[in-house]
Amino acid sequence: MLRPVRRFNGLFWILVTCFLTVLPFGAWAEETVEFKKNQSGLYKDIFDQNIYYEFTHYLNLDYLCRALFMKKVRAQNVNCYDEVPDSTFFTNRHGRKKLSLAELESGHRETPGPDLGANLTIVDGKFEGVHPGFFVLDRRGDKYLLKFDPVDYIEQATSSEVIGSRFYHAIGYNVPQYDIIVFDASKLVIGENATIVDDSGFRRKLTPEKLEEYLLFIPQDSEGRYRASASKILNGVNKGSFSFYGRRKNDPNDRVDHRNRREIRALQVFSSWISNYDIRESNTLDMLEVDENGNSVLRHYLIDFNTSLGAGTSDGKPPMTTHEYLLDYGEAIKAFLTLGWWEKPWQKRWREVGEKVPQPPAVGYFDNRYFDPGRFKVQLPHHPLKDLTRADGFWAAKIIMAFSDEDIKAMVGAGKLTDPKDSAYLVDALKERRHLIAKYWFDQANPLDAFDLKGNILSFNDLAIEYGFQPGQGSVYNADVFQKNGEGIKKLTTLKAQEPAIDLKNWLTENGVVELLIRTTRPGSAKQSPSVRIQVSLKGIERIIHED
Amino acid sequence: MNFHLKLLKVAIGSIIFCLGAGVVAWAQDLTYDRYAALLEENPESSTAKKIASHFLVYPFELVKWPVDQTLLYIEKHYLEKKVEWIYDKIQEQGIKPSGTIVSLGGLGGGLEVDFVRLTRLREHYPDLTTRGWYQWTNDVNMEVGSELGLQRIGETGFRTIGNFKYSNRPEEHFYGIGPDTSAGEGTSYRMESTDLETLFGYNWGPSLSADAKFGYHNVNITNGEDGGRGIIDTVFRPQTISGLAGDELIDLKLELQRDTRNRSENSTKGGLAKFVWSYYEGVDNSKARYFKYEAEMSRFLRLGADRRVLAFRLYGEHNDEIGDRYVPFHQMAKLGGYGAYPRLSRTLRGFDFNRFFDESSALMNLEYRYTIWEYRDFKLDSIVFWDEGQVFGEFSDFQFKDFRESYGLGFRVSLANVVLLTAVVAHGDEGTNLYVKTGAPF
Repeated sequence: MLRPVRRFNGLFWILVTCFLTVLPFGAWAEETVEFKKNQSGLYKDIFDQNIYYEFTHYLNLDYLCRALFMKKVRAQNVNCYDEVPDSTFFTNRHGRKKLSLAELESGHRETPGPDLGANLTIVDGKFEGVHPGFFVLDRRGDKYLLKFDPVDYIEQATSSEVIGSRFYHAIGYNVPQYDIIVFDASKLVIGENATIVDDSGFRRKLTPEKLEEYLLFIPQDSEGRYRASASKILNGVNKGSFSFYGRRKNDPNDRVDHRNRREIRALQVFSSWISNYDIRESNTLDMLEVDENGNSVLRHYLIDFNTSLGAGTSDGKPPMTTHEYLLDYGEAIKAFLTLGWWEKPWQKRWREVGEKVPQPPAVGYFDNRYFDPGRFKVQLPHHPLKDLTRADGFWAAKIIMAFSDEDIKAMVGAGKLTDPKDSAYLVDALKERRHLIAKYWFDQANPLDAFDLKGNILSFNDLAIEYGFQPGQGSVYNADVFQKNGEGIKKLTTLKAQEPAIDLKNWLTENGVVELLIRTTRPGSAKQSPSVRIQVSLKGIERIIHED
Repeated sequence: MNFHLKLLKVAIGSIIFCLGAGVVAWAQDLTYDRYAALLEENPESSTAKKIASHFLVYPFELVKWPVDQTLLYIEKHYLEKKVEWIYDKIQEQGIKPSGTIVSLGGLGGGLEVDFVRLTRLREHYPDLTTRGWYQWTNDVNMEVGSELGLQRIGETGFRTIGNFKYSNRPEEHFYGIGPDTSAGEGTSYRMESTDLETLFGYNWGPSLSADAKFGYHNVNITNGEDGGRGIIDTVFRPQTISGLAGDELIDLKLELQRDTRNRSENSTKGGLAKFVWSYYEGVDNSKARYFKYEAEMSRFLRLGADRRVLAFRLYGEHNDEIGDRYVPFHQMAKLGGYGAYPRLSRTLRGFDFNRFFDESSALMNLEYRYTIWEYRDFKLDSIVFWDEGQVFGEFSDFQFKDFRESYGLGFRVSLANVVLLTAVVAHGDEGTNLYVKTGAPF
């Protein structure tokens, strides 16, 4: 071998070795820094999610194999009953125990809201994101971020923000406290060192003239007052946003790769309910807080819901959002190959309303025409949300079905829309959407829930029947019964039941675990549903697994 | 007593059971706590396995980090807002910078100064136009010019404008004259021209206008800079190419234009019709004397929706020498290339620019444009096109078999219907061309 070739080969392998060893150590070294602030922003999110991961995702051999064999990865933060235990990401709220209407309307609460009995002192201007606003201090010394509606669309963004926060909170996510406030311009006073980043992008001292100029672009109600959503700045230390990938290895409460957390995947379903397309890493927040025992806890929040429901960035929800990603390669390729003659669902929906938002400005573009729960898209193609399995979807759908019509009405009420017709419209649309989502995900899975063993009877609820998606009679539950013997497993029999209860008296033994694989057939269809796997012993239910 | 004790035990037991059940289960009274923190053990993959499955991604991680940091820096310091604000402020002063992409290596830029704005006189003289510009594109051209005039005289539809322009094109291609020239005989020349022109026109409303122009043009032709190409007067016999030594020309031009397009770029309806008649006379040593006739018609047809547009353009040009005088080759009809400024030849995308020269040309461009992606004001259009064109001398030389066709497809990114970038692949019988450019040819 020639000397230069030998030299090149040597150099090449040294580089490869360095590359493979230094990188993991580099990553490890970074993680040992305690709760380093994780910075994110819209542009970074767009690049990472819409460009980088879209192309490098399939270079990861693990994911490539899963994609080729269409193998779904089961969520890893579920317990043996296929539920998500409480964590610093998620607390089972309405799905576990119904919140009162007052609790639903109130949402997460630390204070009664900004104290409007005295002036609000502007301490900073906020231009991050698409809805600019002010940071203010009230008389009590609590700090809030005030965000406003776009001109001509009073109530749209502010109500969407508050209503969105109520839904996510009741579902179980951590959200800051949001309130609608209405105040006179005279309530706003400029703090001594208040600055604002104005349209120029330069930070300047906030002067009365600047404030007056700024207020010109904020809509006023019929009495000349300003309406804002006020989110209370959380107590604790801001540690930036959390990533939808990986985990903070130095956080003892963060033990599962976020990509495999069910509640993160299920943001896909919950966001489809309230049409919140702006789910991204930069709309999350990690706060280092002190818990009731005096321990430091890193809690993970969702923030910014002002593009929920019919709201968009400046003038209502753009028609393509929720149907397409910001850069949607698949949809673009379909349009390219069909020479533009294939009408995308959003184009059809938009054409049918004459390319004008048919709902009032306070509501924006929100209805259920062509709403397909399986095709809803948030703004960016987050792979964790794409990893959503049938079991994850079913879990989310049953939480959604826990909300009654009155519950929805209470949460929409928090948006304080002036016209009762606007509130009624949103409530009706959300009710209808709730059913569309639940029906879709119940159809995807075997919607059996609340398994229990009393004596020898394994009982359960068929949620599709309970919520009226299937007729009360005619469903058949086919259970293959297996016996676990040490490491092996043996099929014992197949049981059929017309009612949601299975008698196991011949199969439960003193020291064995019986496993049932239950599939459901519906009246008029020979097709069997996906399975639910239940492990039972005389001690009771040991494990429940809905098929992914 | 025993009975009472038993009853008490049962009652206490029931209360404890109910309380317990109430805590652990909702509604269904389950016998277990379904939300218990009984997580299954999911051991993480080993580092070796992670590296093995991830090793193809590592090189890209090296790109991701700096890009992420740059984007965070831009957002954190509002750099995009600052740039936009600075650009707007400069424009408010009457100064308009611009950038051009002619090819992957042909980047350019320019500056236009509106002196009326610069001197804050726009309010007093809304119709006065006094501007100067400088435009440079690598290897393509350098142009400097100025303009003075009135876009509207009084309250009438009349307007008058005079302009001066100097341009230097270092690498204009030339393959000979006529439809049967060889692609292998490519040469290049440098063309320096100085133009003085005055215009007097009338507008009948926004769509119809007529202009009369009188101009002086000084054209110098020297050897081109394009390395590897033959020098024009060694490949071709100089006496067969009229105007090889350059020309001084004066011209009188009459132009009638009807423009019903809804936008100057990315139009979805209407069209443009333009007829030009010119008389050119060589002065000083130039023996040129000829008439030039040009006709152009384009139409934009919306096919059921704005996202589908069929665009076509017809163009014809004839230069007719008078007596024993000639038409200089540099003023002849030219076909080839993408066909947009700063090039001078008309759109025949499967061929090199300036590929065909002759006294006359006939050209048809057909484009099907359709939107494949849009987000707010951003749009990505795909285009499929077919160009058909030929050059010829006299009308009697016109033959259908001389038509040369090219076809291809491409993509255009636009913002608020201003084309930001075009990428087009075109194929003709002399090969395939890739264009990456700003702007659309029509």
